[in-house]
This record gives sequence, structure tokens and C-alpha cells, in this order.
Amino acid sequence: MRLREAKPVIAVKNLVKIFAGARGQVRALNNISFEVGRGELFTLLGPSGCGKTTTLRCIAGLEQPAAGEILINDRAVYRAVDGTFVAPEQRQIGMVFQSYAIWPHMTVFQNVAYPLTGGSRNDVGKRVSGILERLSLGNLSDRLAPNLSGGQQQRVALARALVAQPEILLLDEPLSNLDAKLREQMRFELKALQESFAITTVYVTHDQEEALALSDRIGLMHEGDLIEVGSPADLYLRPAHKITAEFLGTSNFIPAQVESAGVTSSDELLVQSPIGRFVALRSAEWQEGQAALLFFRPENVEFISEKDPPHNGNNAASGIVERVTFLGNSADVVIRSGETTLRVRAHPARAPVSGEEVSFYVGPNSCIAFPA
Amino acid sequence: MLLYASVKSTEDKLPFESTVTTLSNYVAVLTSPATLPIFLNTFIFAVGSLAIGLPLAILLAWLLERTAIPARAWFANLILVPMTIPSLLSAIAWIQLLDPSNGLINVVLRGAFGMSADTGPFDIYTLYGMCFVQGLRLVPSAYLMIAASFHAMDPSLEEQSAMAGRNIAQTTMRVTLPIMRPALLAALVYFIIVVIESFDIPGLLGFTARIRVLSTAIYWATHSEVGLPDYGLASALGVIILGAALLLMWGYQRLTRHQERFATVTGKGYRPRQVALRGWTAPATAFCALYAIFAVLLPFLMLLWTSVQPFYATPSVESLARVSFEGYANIWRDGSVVRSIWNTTLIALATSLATIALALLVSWFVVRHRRSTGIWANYLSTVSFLPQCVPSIVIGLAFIFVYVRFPIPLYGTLWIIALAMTTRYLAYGSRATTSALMQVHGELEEASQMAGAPWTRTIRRITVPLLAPALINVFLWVAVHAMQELSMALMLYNPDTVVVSTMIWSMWQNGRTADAAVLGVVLILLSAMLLLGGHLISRLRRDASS
Repeated sequence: MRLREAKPVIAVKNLVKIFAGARGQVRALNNISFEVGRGELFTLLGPSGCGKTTTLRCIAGLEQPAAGEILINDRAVYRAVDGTFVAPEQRQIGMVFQSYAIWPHMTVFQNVAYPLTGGSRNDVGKRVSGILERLSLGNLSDRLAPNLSGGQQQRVALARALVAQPEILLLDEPLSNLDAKLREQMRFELKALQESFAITTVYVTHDQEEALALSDRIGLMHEGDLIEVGSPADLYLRPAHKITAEFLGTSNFIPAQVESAGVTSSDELLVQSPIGRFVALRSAEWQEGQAALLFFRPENVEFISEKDPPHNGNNAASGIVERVTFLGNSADVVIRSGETTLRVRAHPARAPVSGEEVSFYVGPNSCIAFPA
Repeated sequence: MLLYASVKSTEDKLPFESTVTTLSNYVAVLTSPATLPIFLNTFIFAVGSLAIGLPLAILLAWLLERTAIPARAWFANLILVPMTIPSLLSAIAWIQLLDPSNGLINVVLRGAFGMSADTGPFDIYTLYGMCFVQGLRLVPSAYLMIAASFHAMDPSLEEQSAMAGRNIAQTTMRVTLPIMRPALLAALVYFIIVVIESFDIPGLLGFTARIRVLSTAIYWATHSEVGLPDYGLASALGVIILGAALLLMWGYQRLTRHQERFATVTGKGYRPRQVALRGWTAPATAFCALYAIFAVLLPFLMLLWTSVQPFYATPSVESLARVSFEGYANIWRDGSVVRSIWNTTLIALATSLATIALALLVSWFVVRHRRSTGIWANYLSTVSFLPQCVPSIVIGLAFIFVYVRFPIPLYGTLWIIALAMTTRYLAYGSRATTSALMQVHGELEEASQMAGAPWTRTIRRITVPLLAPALINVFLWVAVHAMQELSMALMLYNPDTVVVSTMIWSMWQNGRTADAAVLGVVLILLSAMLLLGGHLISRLRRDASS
């Protein structure tokens, strides 16, 4: 994670967007606030319809919000209170659209040269060829857009967004139109490019792998709310909200009850679940006897032999293997323990077999208790 | 746009205003013994034209789309040729073929069968003559409409019937036609509107025979040979015809909406199954050939023939000797002819450019700003589609009312004619540009905004070039229609603003048959040149981009 400077390049404050739909009004954005630091790659992640693209389009100026404030380098480009609204063409932001929006009636060169107005022909030519070289598109400059492959179109869209040297780059699902292999390759290229340009970037995607691999920080969105913001590792390993835990990776959720609000240290607590007692990290203030939801990930479950239960029997349980699915680099094991079904990720060579009775352990640092 | 809207609303109101102040017009219209024949004539004219035109079009469409008839590409193109000939001229051509005393066909038939009478056997100056000419006029556009739905039908629907053991006749009756019923019904309603608002043919043929239908009655009420123009009567008739057209249009839209239930187009590429004609090949081909000769080539040749004769005469050895192109040379000496060609060019250009600009604006608001402008976008699209069902003659009438009292002295200028035509053609234009714009992804324009381009540059560099094919088509369609339009021009012209179509009309009324034919051929050539030019431009563009 990059060190953030004190002054953010983009500051979004209490943004509200309302769409007038066929059946009344829909609140597309609900008090969204976040900041993006200089040179940072900030990802808005969420399922389709969560408002991430709408947020991006509000920053671009392509949508007019209903309330709130958007600052770019401390200058308001949108402010509801005094009616400030800077038109998108005056915001000097580079943007890559989901469809790439390469103009089919222009060559690659003309597409990329479009944002450059003023300046001599020579100068424009130099800058365009410079950026085309850098994106290894030099030999395609006379091609018409329909004669480009998906990957090439994506690069042209990037070149067009970067050629005027904007301070901010907005990327709307830039990899979703590419096939799986190319997508993975472009993911690294994109990251390298963003770092070498040191350009402040807001990236929108619904693909969690992409978000985890690329981002400095991720903002997770759900139904118009910004649920939480943090580094990829924070969000994945220690989500503060159930929605985050659910969206990223695979999860086990077990209904439980708080037995003691303070056990070994101040940020741990003890819960009683149908499969046993667990020491878990807390995610809120708790009262004894309150209903909770115990969360842990399948890959944090270890198989143990029944003879040496750790932690005085806490955080351990047993059950019967119901199904084993071989996935190559791992095996997906479904365990039934009483009424509860759990998913466990096992090493493919050390996976149990169907019908076997197993005991397992989940470390306290991998367990989180969410409000039920 | 605001100007246009104001024109629209006053236009809608004005005839109604007159209903409040002088209800007697309606009483006069509805009780006068003279008007009953008008309604009756209109009814017979509509039914008769459709009874001739639609079955012909359906038969031709079926033969050319669904059977293995030889030379189908040739026939398909020939059928469409009359679309470039103004209906005014096809009326003139048919008069020369079927005039009871010296029409070519009548003369030939009388000679062949040794009939002694001076007239007959056919008389074009009757209601049935009008139905016949109008019916043939409908065939090209009806053919286009019906052939398209024959073409789009999924052949597996018919193949399924064949698998169930039905033969071709049974399949056609029990599957093909019922599936096409909504499309055929829609075509029927649409062409009733076309016939009711048709002016040229009943105007020309009914003038001699004194047979009036609604559209021509409006004209004659305002251009009475004796006495003052009766605008009250005209607008009362106008409201009636407008009401009928609106009602039909409403029915048409209901029909086409329900058509989705019969979604025959699946977007899959397939070749419709073709029926082998076997023993019927020769009669079917003969039928198509006869139609092409009789309905397409003969009228055009007749017009050409008349234009190279100093005065009208039936083709014979004697008159062949008189063939000269003097008519084509002399016509330029007539100052008003030259003026009419110049005026027509100006109007065609102004109308098509104005239509494109307004249509682009309308569809841009409707497509791109539907969400932000909401009700406005809907209002705009409704208002711009409305003139589709307002008969031209009514628009002409309304423009007289509105602009006689309009503060800007537009009345009596060329521009009022161009404005009336723009109003009329905007419906077609905005429909075409709207569907084209919907194909253009909005992000293409947004990308230009993000590149720092103001909206003017976005429209100029991105939107217009991307829409160019559709815009060229709208330009050509509007320009050709504006060149050939008669009824609006007739209502609004004066000696200074005479156009080619009104020139032909008045030449014909004054008995200058040969001159009318010459000018007619010139008009056809101008339209053909325009269409050919447009075709070449789009060919060149396609070559350049590939």
C-alpha cells in the first residue's frame, strides 16, 4: 500500500444520486463519502447495480448527483449547496469506458489525437506517437477501430485517456470485455502502467480477484451504500461488515450467542455455537447473551487429530464429511456437524474421504463475530 | 424546436377554434346534400384502391419472396421503380392511356375489336378509374412492407406444418397467412390513411369528372372557381379528415404494438424456404412480367411519348413523324418554368436540411436525455411523430390560417412551403434518426466529452459522422418527396413561389398537356439523379471504410 499524502486528489462527500424509475424514485447512491490520494489506485467493488459505475460517472460529470459534494484538488466540481457543476469536458479527467467507445469512423491515430486541441501538428503527432509507442500500438496507428482486437481496443482507449496527461484516470470495468487469459495478462500491464504514470486512478469492477490484485485500497459497495474502505488484505482477512465477508471469497456463517464479551484480550470475545465454543475477533460492541454470526473462511480450517484439542477445547469441532470436490490445486470439502453444514478448503493430497469423521480447528484470529 | 411546437399547437387548435365560433360550418357540412357524395366517394375510393392494390402487392410479394420464380431480382427492382415517379405524373400517364376518347389503350382496343363507338371501352374519369390508378400506386410501398414480413418469417414455423403432413396450400392458409395477419392488418390500416390523404390522383382525375373526395373537397373549397374561398367549410372538412386519420393511426399503433406477440423475427440468419412452382412457373412469370410492363413501363413510356409530341396524339406512323425534342428546348423560354425549377431546388434543399437538423435534435433529446428530461422527451417525441397522421392537405390549410396572421411575413414566401413540408416530414425523419441513434452507444459521445470536447464538437466530430448513413437517407427521402409534393404546395403557393409540381398541375388544368409531360420527365430525371447521386455517395463511403 502506497503512503497517502495529507491532501486527497479526489474527495467525495455525502454523495446522493436519485434515479426516476418507472416505479417511483430509486436511490442509486446513499451518502457516499471517500477520498483518493495522489497516485493511488482506488477500486470501487460490488455486484452489478450497487452504484459503483454511477459513482464513477458522477466523478466524471456524466451524471448529475442530487446532493453532496465532489472536490478535485480542493476545487469543487460539484456542490449541491451552491449549485456548482463543472461540465465533464472541463474536468480534465481521462476515462476508459466499459465498451472502450473507440470511434469507428476514425483511425487509431485520430482517436488518440482527439483530446489534443491547440498545439502544432508536429507537437500533436509527437505526443500521439509517444503514447502509442508506450502502449505498443505504434504499428497500428492507421488502422480503423473495427479492425482491432479486443485487447488492442482496450489499449487505444487507454492511450486516448492518457494522451492529454490528465491528473485523474477513471476506469469502468476495463477488463470485462476481454477473454479470461488476456484479462489476467492485462491486469498486470494495467497496474505497471498506472504506477509508471503515477496517475490517481478510480477503478470500477465487479471482479473481486481483479480488485484484490490491482488496488491500493478498495471501497466495497452494496445497494447504493459504501460499506467499507480498506486495503485488499484488510478487507479480505479482517472484514468489518458481514456484507464484505460475504462478497469477498467464500465464507462460513454459523449462528451463535455471545457468552463472554471479554476473554483473553480486549478485542476478542467468546461465543457459543451449535458446533462448539469459539474465541473470535469482535466487530462491534457486544452484550452477553446477544445473538451473533460466527464467520470464518474455508481455507483457515485445519484438520486435527481428536487426541490433542487445543485451547481447552475452544475453536474446535467435529463432523462427518459429506462430499469432496477435487479442484486441482485444492479440494472443496463439505462437512456436516449436527444441523450445520460447513465448507472447508483442503490440500488435494491430504483431503479426507466422503463419510469419514473428522475433527478440525479454526484459529481465533481467523474467526470474526458479526451482529446477527 | 419551440417555434415548431408553437406551430404544432396552433395548428391543432385552429380548426377547433372555428368550431366554437361557427358551428354552422359543421351543420352545413353534415346536412348539405352535396357533402354526402363526398363521404360516399371517399369511402368507395378507399375500399376500391385497397381492393386493387393490396391483393396485387401480397401476390407479388409472395411470388418474389417465397417461390423459386426466375429473374426475381429484376422483378423486385422493377416493382419499386414507380416510387420515383410522382403520383401526379402517373395520373397524367394513365389519363393518356385510358382517356375514353383518345386514350391509347381504348383506341387500340376499339381498332382491334372493330368497335364503332367514339369512346370507351374504358373511362378513366370515374370513381373506378381513380381506384384503379390509386390502387396501382399503392403496390410498390405495400410490396416493400409485405415482402419484408414474408422475408423475416422463421421458415421452421412452416416446416413444422410440413412435418405434420400438410401440403403447401394448407400450410399457406393455416400457418403462413395467420402468422402474417397482424402485419397485413397493419398494412391495411396504414394504406387506408395513405388513400384518404391522397390528393394528386383524385385531384387530377376527379377534376374532369367532378368527383370529389374529402382531400380534394378541401382544396376546391379554398380555390373555388366562382366566389370567395370558404375557409370555414374547408376547415370543417379538415377536422373530419384529421379525426378519421387520427383514429386510424391509433388503430395502426395498437396493431403494430400487438405484433410483438407474433415475433417472427428472431435475429437468426436464415434463408426462407422457397416453394417450387413446377407447372405454375410459366403463368407466374407471365403474371409478373405483365404487371411490370403494364403498370410500370407503359405509363412511363406514355409520358415520354407525350413529351416529345407538339400536341397530344395517339402513337401512330403519322405522329411518329412529328417526334421532336422541341418541347424540351422551348420549355426553358418560359420564365415561370425556370423559376419553378429553381424554387423546387431551394425548397427541397431547405426542407431536407431543416428536417435533418430538427430530427437530429429531437432524437438526441429523446434517446440521450430521456432520463433527465423525462416527460419533456416523451412530449417531444409525440409532438414530432404526430404530423405522420395529419394529411398534407390539412397541414397546408392550417398553415394558411396560422401564417396569414403571423407577425413575421412568411405567408406568400417559399419558406412557408418549406416549413409546412418540414412539419410533415419531421415524423419520418425523426423516426429514422432515432432508431439510428439508438444503435450508437452513448459511451461514444461521452468519451468525446471526457476528452474535453464541448457538445458542439461532439456533435460535429462524433455524432454526425456516425449517423451519416442514416442522415444521407433522410436527406434523399425528404428531398425527393419535397420535389414531388403537390397538395401542400398547392395550398400555399402564389405566382412568385410556383414549384414544379404546381406548375405541372396548372399546365394540365390549362390544357398544356405536352408541356406538362416535358416538365414531368424533367422532374423524374431530377429525382432519379438525386437518388443515383445518393447511392453513389454511400457506395463510395462504404468502399472507403473497408
